[in-house]
Formats: sequence, structure tokens, C-alpha cells
Amino acid sequence: MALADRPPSTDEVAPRLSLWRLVWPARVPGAARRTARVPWIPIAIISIIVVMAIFAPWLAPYSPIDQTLRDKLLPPAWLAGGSDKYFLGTDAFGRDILSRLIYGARVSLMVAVLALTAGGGVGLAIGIVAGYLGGAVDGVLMRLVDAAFTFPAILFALLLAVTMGQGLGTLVIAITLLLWASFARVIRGEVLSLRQRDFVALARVRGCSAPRIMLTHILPNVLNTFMVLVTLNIGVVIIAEATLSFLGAGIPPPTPTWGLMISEGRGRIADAWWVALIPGIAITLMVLSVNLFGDWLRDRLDPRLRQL
Amino acid sequence: MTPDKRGETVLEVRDLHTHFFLRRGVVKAVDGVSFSLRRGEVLGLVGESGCGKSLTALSLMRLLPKGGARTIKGEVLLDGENILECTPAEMREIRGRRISMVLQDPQTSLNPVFTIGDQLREAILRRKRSTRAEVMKEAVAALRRVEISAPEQRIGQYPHQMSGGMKQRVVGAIAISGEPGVLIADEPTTALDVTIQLQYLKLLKRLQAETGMAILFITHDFGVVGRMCDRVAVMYAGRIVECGPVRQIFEAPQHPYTRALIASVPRMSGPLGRLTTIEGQPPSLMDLPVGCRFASRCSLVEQRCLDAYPGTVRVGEEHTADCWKVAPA
Amino acid sequence: MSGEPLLRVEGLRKHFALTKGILFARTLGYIKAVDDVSFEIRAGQTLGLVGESGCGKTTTSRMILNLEAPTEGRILLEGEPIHALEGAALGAYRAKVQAVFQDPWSSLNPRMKVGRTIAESLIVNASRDRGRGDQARIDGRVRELLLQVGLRPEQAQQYPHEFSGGQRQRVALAAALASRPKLIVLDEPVSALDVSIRAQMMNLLKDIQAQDDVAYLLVAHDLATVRHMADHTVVMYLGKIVEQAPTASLFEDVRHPYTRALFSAVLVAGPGRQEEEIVLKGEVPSPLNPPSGCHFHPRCPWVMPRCSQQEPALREVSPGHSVACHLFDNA
Repeated sequence: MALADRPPSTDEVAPRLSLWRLVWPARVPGAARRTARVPWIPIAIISIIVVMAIFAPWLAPYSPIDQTLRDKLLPPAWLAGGSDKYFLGTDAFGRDILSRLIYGARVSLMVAVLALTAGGGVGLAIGIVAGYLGGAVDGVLMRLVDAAFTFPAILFALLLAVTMGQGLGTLVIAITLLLWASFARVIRGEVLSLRQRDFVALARVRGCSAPRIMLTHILPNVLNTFMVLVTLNIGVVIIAEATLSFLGAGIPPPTPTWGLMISEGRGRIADAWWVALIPGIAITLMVLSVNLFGDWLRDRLDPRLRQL
Repeated sequence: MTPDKRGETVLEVRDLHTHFFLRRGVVKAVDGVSFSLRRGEVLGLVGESGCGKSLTALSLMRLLPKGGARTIKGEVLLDGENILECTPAEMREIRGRRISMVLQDPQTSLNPVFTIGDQLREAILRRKRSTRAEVMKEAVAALRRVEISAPEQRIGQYPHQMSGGMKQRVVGAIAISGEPGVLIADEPTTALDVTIQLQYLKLLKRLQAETGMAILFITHDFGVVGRMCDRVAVMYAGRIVECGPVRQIFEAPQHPYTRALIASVPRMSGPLGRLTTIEGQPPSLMDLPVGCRFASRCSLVEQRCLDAYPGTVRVGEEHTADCWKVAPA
Repeated sequence: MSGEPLLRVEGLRKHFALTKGILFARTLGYIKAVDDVSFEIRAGQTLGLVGESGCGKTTTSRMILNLEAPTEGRILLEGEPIHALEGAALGAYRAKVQAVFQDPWSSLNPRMKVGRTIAESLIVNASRDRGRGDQARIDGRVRELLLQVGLRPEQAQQYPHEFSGGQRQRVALAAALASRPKLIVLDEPVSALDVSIRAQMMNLLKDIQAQDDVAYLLVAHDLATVRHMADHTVVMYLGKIVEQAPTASLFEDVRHPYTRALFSAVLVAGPGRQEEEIVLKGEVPSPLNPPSGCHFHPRCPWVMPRCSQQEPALREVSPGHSVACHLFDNA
């Protein structure tokens, strides 16, 4: 049977330029292909937030925790009653929303990086081992994954917060426990099909041990999937952090996190809406941008992953 | 092998061009293909991967892959009318009824979640409305026609319960249920075992004798060509480089590519030595040379081969070759 | 032709049990994928293993590669059984027996440079010898191998997707040659390639056999390829050997009805038919429930009553040429 050499990849003909297309890259109908457009606006938003997080001390006009009670609950500068001193207004303690937003980005991103590294890393390892070794090992590990899925994750996080005390560590552990199972499951699926490929059998024929095969053959081939999973889960982590902080199980005040800011502004939506809404918009923009970027990345790296 | 039947021309392809329009260039996958197909005959379309034979078939059915591929020039005359100008609705009527197709992979040609009976019924109902009982009778008859044993039981089976050879027969049954005048078979036996392939080819020949349909048989295997085809067209880099009756092509191939291809196939008898090979690679379809496309690999190449593409030369009765070096009849 | 053959296979059987249920598994039946297969391969020679799907040739080759354990029977390399080899002994075996598989797209790790893939068995063996292999030596050998298979040494830095199908098979061959094996299992090495590329690959395989004195186990379904490459041929049907002979003898004097059908089904690239065509009835039976007696009897054009009752034994009908068929019981 003569297999045809791969036919030429068929990108679409260059589409008309449009603002909408910049934000939402054109999904060309038909067989697997590279995506047309780089999503510049999502990338810009992500970059801004990352820059905010890294350079927070230099960018923020005020300290995020200094209270100036006589300036409390000032609306953003462009509204009536606002002041040029506080561009996005202040909260109930007179703290500058903009500065808290900037420092909040730092916390959110740090939690995201730590939780994704830990949760993603654990999930990746377990997925590869379970998928490649199969048999009893796979059985046991997958039952653990099933158990992790049946956990009421938020309740468990609250439980941790109560027993271990609130803080960055507790928060990261809680979110890691949320994440690892879904990584493990998806990676395992990928490994199961990889295992059937001839080059894995040939690696055995050449004398490679199972650990060597998992490290040099399986791992590089699941990295694409892994990276896509990471980008798609950033949003999950940020919202998880926000939720937990909102519920009081995350980082304790006065450290600003976006979730905490929403929680604090909850009671005042009617008269001081900006306290809750602005961090809310920030979260929305971040998660949306990360998801769009993740979609594009997935399409670029491997269109077969479209079902993720 | 086949009676020397002169049927009328049922399908005529004139100067067909199907190109892929990519960002980095245009892939001229089918670049000026012309042939005709007569009632009751089997025309083989032979070539290696990338020569454009499958895409030619898809162009005839107007089933080009979405995104970039377009038939930009040429005519496809089915019983005299140009189907490239039909509306999508008209084309839907034509597909399955007047021109039908069988593909290579039996595993993916059938829907795995429907029974054989359901899939046959779908094809039968397209032709006419019938009661369920009548449709079932027709379905059983269709299966019997393709020599499937115990058809009443097979009706209720799912594709995965059947072997590859059997699946190909079912696919064949579905394809001919509309009684098409033209059947396009794109490598239908490539994925089958040799003994099963022989069964299938004999079946196809028998069905053809019964229905008088014309078959365009696409393959890379010259052995199959010898067994099945009356005439054969050899494709290379998007064009047909030689076309003629099978006997003539085997006994006296004119085009250097055809000669080299036939010579490179290991034989079942005769001296065992080094096999003849063709050096080099086919040209990129995005960057075709202005002269003969086989020139860079041809042992007989001359300057004029590089300068201009040779016209189609008639070298025998119904036998043509695109080469500067052949002697016209 | 001296003494011990390089590889000897004796009474090889592989049965797969079909079970139902997870905790308390019930055995529904056995698939006898390989059912009493014996043959030998001499150093530097090629044995062709021919048959259609389900005959057991791939399973046999996998057992020889130690990817599956036989249910019964022995495989001996240079006189030593290979079953239950471990550690250094297994490593030594792996260095001597290598493989090239059918699909050029699936045989190479897409994320690994081609040079690294070729060097793999060298790297594994080096680490086993506590790092005695140095990078320069390995690089040199990779360069040498690329040249031997007709590729350019600088291509070691390229990735598989930059190569065509035929070139990828060459890379796979270079990788198999790295550890200087004595035997290479070729599982349909050319069937996925274009016609004109097949010829190149077959010429290359024969050249390398002549240069390196390596034996081949050629698993194929195409008789013309086998004729061209194999010194001896074994024909399998539903797990059993039905005929085996030196290739020349087989082609001159085909005996077994199945082999004759196989020959008949090979379509010659030429017009017309020579001998009468044998078209087999029906399909290959399910290996779960093979026919009684001779497995081929339901489809055999020359079936006799005896065939469904008693399994024929492999009997020699001429020097080196054996057939398992009741038609030749009194040869």
C-alpha cells in the first residue's frame, strides 16, 4: 500500500483585515490547518498584565495597603466626584484601586504560575506513567484521578484554609489538587495513542528501558498538549484564586488580590460599584485573553487537539 | 480480456486544472488533464503519490477539500453536459446516480454507528420512495449481487463485524445502487489482501459487464492495471504523460517515465538482478519547470526537453505520449 | 554452510486469551495467532515470511524481537535461548537483533532529530557500559551510517518531517544498522513506499546485506518482493506453516493449494493472464474458531474428506521443500 506523501497544507487565502479578526482569529473551515491570524489584542492584554505584575513597585502610584480614610470611596477620576489623584478611585479604606489592581496582578499571577507548575507537573508525570505502563499501575492511578474528581474542591480548599491557616502556600496546594487530575487524564489519553506508534516499539527493540522511553520519547511528544492545557487552565486558576479569596480562604487581607477586592466591594455595588467591578473586569479580560491565546496556540501547535 | 466494445463516450474531461491556492504559492496539482471514458470500458489512471490522480477524481465529483483547492479551468462533460457548471443542488442529484465513487480505505468508508442495512437503505431511498419491506428486499438483493454470503444476516450487522474485503463490497453495493453510468474507483483494493483483491476485481468486472458502466480505476499498481483495465493513462506531476490501450502500453511503452516505472517493478519470473530505479524526485508542484516535467530525471534528456513542454504526440492507435523523443505514428 | 544457524525457531506458539470481566475474568477462548512454527535463518541470508492478514507473521516477528513472549516453543539466537533474558544479556541480544517496520511516518519520533534516532542503540549500549561511548565516536558512526544508506551526513540535524517516505525508511534502516546487528527483522519494509522508491530501497537492502553480512527476516505479503530478496521462503496461513522451501524451488514448483492461490493472485505487470486463475471462496476464517483439520480446507479447491478430519503435517516433498497438505501425503 503506497501511502501518499503528505499533501500540501492548505492555509486559507489571506483574509480581509478586520478588527474583529484580530481579536478572534479566523477559524478556517475544513481539514486541519494553521490558523490565519496571531491574536494581537489578547497578547497585548496579557503582556500588560504581566508587566504590571513584574514592575508593580515602580508602576503603582501608591502603596496598595496604605489607608487614607478621608479619601475613601472616591469614584474613578473621569466621574463626578472623582479626583485626579486616584485614577480608578478608592475603596472603603481609602486605598487606591489602581495600585491594588497592579499589586493584585502580581499575586494572581504568582499563584497561577506556582499552581500550574505543581499541578501541571504532577498531572503530567502521573499521566505519562499511567498511560505508558498500563496494567495495575494505570488502574491504581486512574482510581486516584477519579477520586480527585469526586472531591468537592472548593470545600476542600476551605477546609485546608481552616486547618493550615490562610496563606499563599495553602492556596497553591488547594489549587494544585484541583488541577492535577484533569491534566493526568488528558495526558494519559495522549500517551495511550502514542504508545501504539512504531517508534516506541522500535525504541524497545533498541534496548531502551521504560523510564528512558517515557522521558525521551513520550514526554517530548506530549509537551504540545501540555502547553495547551497550561494556557487553557490559567483562566481556571485565576478564577479559583479569586473564588477562594472571595470566600475568605485565600490570601488574607490586606494583601490585595483581585478576588479579595471583589469580595470587599460586594456590599457596596449600589453606591461604590467601582470597587468590585474594576477587579472583575480585570479578571474577565485576563481570562478571556488567556483563553483566546490558548486556542490560537493549540491550533498552531496541533489542530488535532481541537477537542480540548 | 474484454470484448472490443466501442461504446459511446460517457465522460469527457477537457483540459482540467485544479489548483491549491496557498499563502506561499499555488500548487498546481492537476494541470491540464484530458481524457475520455467510454461506456463499458475501464480506464486506468496510474501514477505515484503526489501526481494528482486522486485529486482528478475529486475534481470530477466536485468534492474538492475545502480551503484553497479550486478547479479553475476545463470542462467535465457527463453525457455531453458540463457538470462543472452545475449548481450544488444539481450536483447532489448527479452524485450517486450518474457518477459514483469508491474509496481506498474500507475502515473509514462506512459509518461505524449504523448497520449495513441502514446505510444501504439510505442509498436506495435516494432513488425512490418505497415501503420499508421493499427497501429491505432491495438491500438484500444488493448484497447478494456483490457476492456477500448470508445477506439477510449481514443487513443487521455493523461495519466492525465485517472484514475489509466484505466492507469494500458493501461500499461497492452502495455505490452502484443508483445505477451510475460512471464509477470512479480510487485505489479500492490497495488495502486488501491479494487473494481478496483478486475476488474483488473479478466482482467489479462482472458488475461492469452486467451494467455496462464505465469505470475510472485509479491505482499505483501496474499489475492491477493489467488485470482490470482496457486503457490506461499515466500521470506525472499533474499531467497525463502517456495514454493508450493496456496491451500497447505494456508491450511498447513510449514515455520514458512509463518505461522506467514498469521496469522498476520486481518480476515474478526472469533474471534476478538490481532493480531499475528512477533517480531524483518529482518536481515541486508549486514550482514546475517550464519544459518537460520529467526532464530532470530522464535518461534521454535533451536541451529542447528543458526549453518547452512537449505536445501530445500520437504514437499509435489511440495511443498518445507527451515527449519530444517519441516517433509519431 | 557451516554448523549452527544464526536463528532457530522451534515449535513456536502464541495464544491470546480472550477474557470477559474485570475482577473475575472468564476465558472465552483462545486466539491461536501462531500455532507451531519452526524455521531457521542462516547468517547473512534472508528468510521470507509470506502470508496475508491474520496469518501470524507479524506476531512471529514480534516474538523474535522479544516484544512478546511465546506461549510455547523456543527461539534460539546463535544457539542460546532468548526467553527470559534480562539485563546485560538482553542488551546484548537487542544489539544483535534489530528491526525496520512498515510505516515510515510512524517509525521515527517526530520530535527527535534524525541523527539522535540513529544513535539510539549506541547511546543505550554506551550507558550500559558506564559511559564508555563518547560523543565523537557516536557522531562519527552516525555519519558513517547516513552515508551507507545514501543520505548526506549533515542531514543528521534534521527532523523527520523534512524527509520523504523513502528517505525516512532509509533513516530507519540506518538506525537498525547502528549496533551492527546480525539479524534485522524487516516487516513490510517497502509496501508503504511508492513503486519507484521501492526499487531503490530493495537495492539498498541487498547492498547492505552483501557489505555487512547481516541476515534478514523479511515479512511480506508480496511474492515478487520476496522472490527478489529471500533465499528461503515460509508461507503461513492462520498461524501455521503451509509450505516452506528455498525461494527458487518454491517458485518453480509450487505445491500447497493456498500458495498456488497466492501465486495466482499476484497480478503481473503485463497484459493478459498466463495460467488459470485460482480465486478463493470466502474470507479468512476467524482465528478464534479455526476450521477443523487443515485450516484451509473450507476454501481449498482440491479439498478431500480427510482434510476436515486430520491436520496435515509438514512433509518434505523435495530437498529443503516441505508442504503441509494431504494431497502430498504419499510424496
